[in-house]
Amino acid sequence: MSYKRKILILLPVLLLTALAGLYFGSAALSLPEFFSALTGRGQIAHGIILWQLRLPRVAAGILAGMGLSTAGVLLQSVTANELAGPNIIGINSGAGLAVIVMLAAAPAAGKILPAAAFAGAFGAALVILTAADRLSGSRSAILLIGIAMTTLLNAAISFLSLLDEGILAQYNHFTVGSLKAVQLGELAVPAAIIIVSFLGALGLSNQLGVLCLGDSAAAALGIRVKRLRLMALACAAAGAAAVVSFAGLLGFVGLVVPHIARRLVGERPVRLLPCAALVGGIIVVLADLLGRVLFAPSELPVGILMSVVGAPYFLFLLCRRRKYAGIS
Amino acid sequence: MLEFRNISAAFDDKRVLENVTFSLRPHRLTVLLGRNGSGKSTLLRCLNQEIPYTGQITEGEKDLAFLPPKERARTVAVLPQTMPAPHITAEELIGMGRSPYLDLTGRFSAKDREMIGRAIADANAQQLCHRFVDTLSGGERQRVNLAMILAQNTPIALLDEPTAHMDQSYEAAFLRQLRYINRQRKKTFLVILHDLTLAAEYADDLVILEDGKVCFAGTKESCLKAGVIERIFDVKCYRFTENGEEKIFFSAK
Repeated sequence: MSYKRKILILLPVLLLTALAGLYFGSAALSLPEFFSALTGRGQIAHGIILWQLRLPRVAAGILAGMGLSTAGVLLQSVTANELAGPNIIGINSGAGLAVIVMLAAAPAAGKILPAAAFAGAFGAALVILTAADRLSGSRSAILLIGIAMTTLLNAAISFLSLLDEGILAQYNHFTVGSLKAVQLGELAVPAAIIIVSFLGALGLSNQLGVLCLGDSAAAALGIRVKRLRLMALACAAAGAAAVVSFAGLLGFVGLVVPHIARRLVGERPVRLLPCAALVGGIIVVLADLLGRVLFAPSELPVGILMSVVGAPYFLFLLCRRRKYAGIS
Repeated sequence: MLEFRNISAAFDDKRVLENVTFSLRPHRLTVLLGRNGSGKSTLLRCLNQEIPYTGQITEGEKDLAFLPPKERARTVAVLPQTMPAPHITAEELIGMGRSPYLDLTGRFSAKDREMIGRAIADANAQQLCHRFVDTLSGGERQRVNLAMILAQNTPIALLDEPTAHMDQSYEAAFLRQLRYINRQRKKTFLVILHDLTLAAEYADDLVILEDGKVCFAGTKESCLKAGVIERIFDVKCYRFTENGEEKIFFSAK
């Protein structure tokens, strides 16, 4: 099946998943009620459920999937490491530290937590980028600096969480990752950042494809390897930090989705990025939907469901690959 | 004409290249020889602007250090010693040779497609195009890599030990192909080799490095006549004639 056909199949699948996300929920709507509410002619209560409760979650799911998958593809390309995800450039730890500092300093300022999460995530990524720039900018330097910074930030988080158990409870809620409290108005700025980082990544994708030949061959083909790597990391950091600001720390999307997309359309980033963005949107919306309906009226946060389903699937993918490589 | 002028480079405090000066004569196949650690690969890394160096590497009036990367890649192609084998088709890999000519969209023009087709034919890689690079044998992979740097359509190409890990028949076939392209397309090649016998058979010119310095640069005939290879590499030279053609072999003393 051609690449275009696969994308043309994924687009309606995403649309259907989004419609399912709008239709299903703890409050049951009949099909006529759903379509009436969709066209703005139904009962006010149905309209509120659809437009103010479910639509923001679906939109947030699509954006979160798109942003994290794009970051995952970029990070796995520039580090040539299939285990790379947004956490390696300090996104999670940076956001976590900013949130816990805000919770400790101003417990009542819940409204600015998303902005603090974004600032922390992007700030930590910038520190790692600057350090990588000062050193060689090589793929191993980025990974090692990322690991060192993440360890340092996690130590600070652990220290602050020891001070107050109340803070720890609120912080745990943030680390799970959820789309529950998202409002449409809050999504405008993150959406703009995610779309710009996706377009930026697409602009870099042809050059990123050449990086698979190694740094020397890429340099010989006219690529400014270090600059390309840092630009791709900046795009990944901005997109993932924007997601963290409204969804918390969604595990596994940035790691697993690029692998699924790779199986569908191959290795080249120019094809991988659009495919991963669509698959990421489908998976997060679907996971959020399942989290809402499986134990309704109780709700399972999307982050937990993603990890429960994502981890075994990731192991399955690894086993398949070992089998393919002839390793028993 | 590609010229290396007084090139010096060092790793930490150890000087690897010292005032290396030589030039490549156009349309010739030059082989760069030297013992392990003599600085051959470092010289190619200098040309690729991967490590700092003093001196000048020029092509005509142009100093490669001051050329934008894409323009440099349109002037000199470099095939590094080791390259990963990605899970992409050989045709996609060969197409990457056109990277210095592509805009942001990455779309191939008619000229790009023509160059890719010509490179595939020149490297004799037609049968490999639709196979995945990570499923090719070492010899097949090098043919595809050769096609990639040919697609770059540069007047000069440098290859760092392209026949390493190949068996003897593949080695000879690869170098024959290289010489054929050199003659047909008037392309200038600089090839790093370890095998002295192959170097003596396929080179037009030889450059020999010893401890980071050039100890010989000139035609193969003058090198063999002066016995430079025997002296530097501590080997013995055997000559015999087969079907009216002189063959040269080197073996350890």
